[in-house]
Amino acid sequence: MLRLASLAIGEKAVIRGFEGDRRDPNFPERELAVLTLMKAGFLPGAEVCVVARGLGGDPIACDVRGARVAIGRTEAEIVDVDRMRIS
Amino acid sequence: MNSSSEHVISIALAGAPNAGKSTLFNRLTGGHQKIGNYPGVTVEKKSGHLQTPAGHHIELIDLPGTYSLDAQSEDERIAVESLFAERSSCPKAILVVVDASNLERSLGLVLELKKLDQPVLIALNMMDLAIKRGLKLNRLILEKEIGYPVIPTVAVNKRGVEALLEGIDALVERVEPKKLSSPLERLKSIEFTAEAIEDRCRTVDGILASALIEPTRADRVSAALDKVLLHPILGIPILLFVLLLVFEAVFTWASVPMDWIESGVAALTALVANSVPESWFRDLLSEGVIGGVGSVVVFLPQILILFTFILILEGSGYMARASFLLNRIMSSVGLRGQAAVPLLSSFACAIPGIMATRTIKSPRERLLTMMIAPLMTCSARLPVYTLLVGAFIPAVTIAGFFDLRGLVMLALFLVAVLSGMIVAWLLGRFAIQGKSAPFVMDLPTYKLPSPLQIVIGLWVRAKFFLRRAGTLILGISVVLWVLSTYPKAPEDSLVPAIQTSYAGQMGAALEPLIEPLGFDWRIATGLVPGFAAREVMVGALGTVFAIEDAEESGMATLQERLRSTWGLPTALALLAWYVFAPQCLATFAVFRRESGSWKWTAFTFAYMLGLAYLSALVTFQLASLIF
Repeated sequence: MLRLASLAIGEKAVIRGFEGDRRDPNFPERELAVLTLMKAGFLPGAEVCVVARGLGGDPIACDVRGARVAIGRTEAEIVDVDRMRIS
Repeated sequence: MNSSSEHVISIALAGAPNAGKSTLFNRLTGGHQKIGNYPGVTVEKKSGHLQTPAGHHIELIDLPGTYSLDAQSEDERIAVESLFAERSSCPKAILVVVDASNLERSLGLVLELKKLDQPVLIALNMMDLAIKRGLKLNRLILEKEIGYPVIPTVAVNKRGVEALLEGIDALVERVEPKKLSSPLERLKSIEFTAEAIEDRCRTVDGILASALIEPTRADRVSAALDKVLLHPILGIPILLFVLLLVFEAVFTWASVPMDWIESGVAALTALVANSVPESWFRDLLSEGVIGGVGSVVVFLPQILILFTFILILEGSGYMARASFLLNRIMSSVGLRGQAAVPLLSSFACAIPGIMATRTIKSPRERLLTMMIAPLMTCSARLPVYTLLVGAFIPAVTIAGFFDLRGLVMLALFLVAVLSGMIVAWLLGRFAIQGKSAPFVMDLPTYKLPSPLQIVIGLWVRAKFFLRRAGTLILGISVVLWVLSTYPKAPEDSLVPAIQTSYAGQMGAALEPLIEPLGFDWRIATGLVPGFAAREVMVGALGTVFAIEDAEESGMATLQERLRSTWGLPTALALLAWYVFAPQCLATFAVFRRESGSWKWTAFTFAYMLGLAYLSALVTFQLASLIF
């Protein structure tokens, strides 16, 4: 499954869900992260476009639901996406 | 209804800061604002009063929270709950500020508030920007779909505010005097599960599908700016360049108004000397009061220039980009980008910086950020830096553009940042446990910062600084003058008078302790009162040297006197001391209040003092070998 974290700058995708790696021992606050992401507009079915990445790819700036939001790489790792064809 | 002062109606103001909530709050309440604290938690309670055209007295309470009532920290949830728990304090109606150019995102909050079952008025703010970006909407359908009246506003524009005031009157009419069910229970019934959040978003989509004729286009200017400012390679150099520009401006632009203030102080001293008969009182006035306070007030231009830049960076939206760019560096020491804004604010003053850590949701990261915030180069260090750098570093131009003095200032800032990072890493690794919060941060569209917000912001800082100069620093200057004047030296004394005074004696007692740092009794005389406030050192040196030289002829400036008294190693060591020294009582008072822990307050004081001593020691010893 493709993750939001692996998209390149300029790529568009549709959010599928928050499957991610549920067993990641380094990321116990996954549920909280999912809720925080959803409140920021990262909903299943929403279009997301990566517009910038920080040093080393962290954080990731995306356009989602009409707003520009920066999320950490760890957070972007739990967002499953389907890549859209760039028109 | 005839309103009287006993009949104040409280209305809560909800909305995201990016929606222009604070500008609107300032517009509506003017100067009638009150800042307090919610009981038991460290959340600021901002409220203000206003009168509507119909004569209602309204208390407007600024609710903490952004796009969601749940978006904030545990403390802020407790604060909102405490507000709704008391029948007397509970807001009777709600005014929601919604960003018209970002409806998809901001209408969710309105749906959350629906659960409260209270009258709601929506201020559709920043309409001008939204219309410019192509927004066309049917207000009547929007009102019908969402169930509340909607008033389009432009926070900086008078007409929108007038319409809003009339809307508030209509809102007051809808307040039901007796409600049976508890507002707190209704507040707690707002759900924040994944399903509830998704549900609200779908509802927003539905509302917008029928009310929008044309949606807001993406902001082309912002997109283009981000392409450059967040560029993977260009982003960081641009940020560094902006910061360098700020420091150069603080150092060079301020020199003209500083000269005015200096000559004003000199004129005032001359006036006192000519009009007051020679007495201890004249000496107190000219040396203690005017000399001490004047040498601190002279730094007001620099502080105002620095704050102008910080307010512009904040208001324009670039501050969030700075957090974005610095996140990687922050996370390498266990912090996230959100810590960057409190830390950047600490460059002006650690007190607002420490208070700004309230926005950090993880308690662990918040404590870490607070502990390194006082290391950031606050504006109170500037007077000392400027004095010493101006006295000891030659004004040489490097690479045709940069002043060597500006570069040295920048180096002092960078050393502070670097050591803050190292300290954060060490503390996070070995001392402070806890969970970290998810990193999700808004990048607001770029805006021209509002001149009103900048003026209000500058006014608040200037008032704070001048009040300190007029109270704390004035008091210390007078005490210091007494300490450095009495007891008077015998007539036939060969040493300067100040050396026999109390201050000289205290300095002499401290001398063995600070001699390895290259500090003499004059510095010692300034260091003790300097623990109250850093900039007192400048006043203290002014007083010490003014008194010492009273017998000598010639009106050398303080910098010339410093140059002729100390060597470069001493000056560098004193600069190194000032990078770290915990010399600000107010910071530690705020630290104690915000952290709720004496243990961490004492620890922070101790580690900073230790670092200051060590770095001054190393600097002096090394510099003595080189120069």
